[in-house]
Amino acid sequence: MNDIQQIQQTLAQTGLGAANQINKYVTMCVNGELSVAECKSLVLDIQRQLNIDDQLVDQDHLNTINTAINALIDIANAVG
Amino acid sequence: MTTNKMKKLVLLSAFLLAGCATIDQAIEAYEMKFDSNQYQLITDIRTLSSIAKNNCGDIAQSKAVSVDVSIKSLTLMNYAEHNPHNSTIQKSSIELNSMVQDLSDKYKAGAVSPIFCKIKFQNIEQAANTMQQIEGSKPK
Repeated sequence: MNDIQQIQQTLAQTGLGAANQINKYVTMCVNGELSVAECKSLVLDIQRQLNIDDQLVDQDHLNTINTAINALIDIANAVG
Repeated sequence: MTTNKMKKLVLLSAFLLAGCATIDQAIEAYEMKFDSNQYQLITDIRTLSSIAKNNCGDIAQSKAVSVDVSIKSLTLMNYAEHNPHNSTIQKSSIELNSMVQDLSDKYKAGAVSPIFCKIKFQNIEQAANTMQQIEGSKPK
C-alpha cells in the first residue's frame, strides 16, 4: 500500500462526509480526471469548509482530517 | 438595580446559558444581531455559484461569473472585518474568500477544466449556504 492509499484508508475509517469527499478528489486526481493543482485546491476547500463550520466534526476527527490534508498537500507539492 | 448592574447580570446569565468559553464569546452572543447587508452578499455568492456550476462548459461565462463572485466575496470580507460582534462571519468570510480567489486565480492563469469549475462552484455554494445558516440564526 502506498502513502496515498494509507491516507485514504485513514480518512475512510472516520466515516465522515468531509473525509469521503477528500478521498473522492484524490481518486479523481490519481485517475487523471483532475490535475494535481486542481486536486490540491479542492482538498484545501474541505479544510476551509471545516473552518467555516467547526461544529461539523469533533476535535479528534478534525485533527485526523487536518493531518491527512497536510500530508496530501505535501505529496501534491512534491509532485509539482 | 442600576442599568450597568442589570447588563452585567444578563451577560453573566448569557455566559452560563450559552456555555461560552470566554467572556468575549458571551458578550458576542449577547450583542450580535442579524445583518441584512451581510446576508444579502452571502446569498448573492450562493446564487451566482449555484447557476454557474451548471454552465461550466461555457468557459468565458464561467470566468466572468468567477470575477463577479470574487468581487462579492471580497466585499463581504471587507464589510465583515470591522462589523462589531461578528467574529464568526469575519473568520468564515476569510475562508470563503480563499476558495473564491483560488478559482479566480486559476481562470486568470487560463487553466480550468469544466469538472474542476463545477466542483469548485459547488464548494463555494455549499460554504455560502452554511454561512447563510450562521447569519440567519442571529437574533433579528
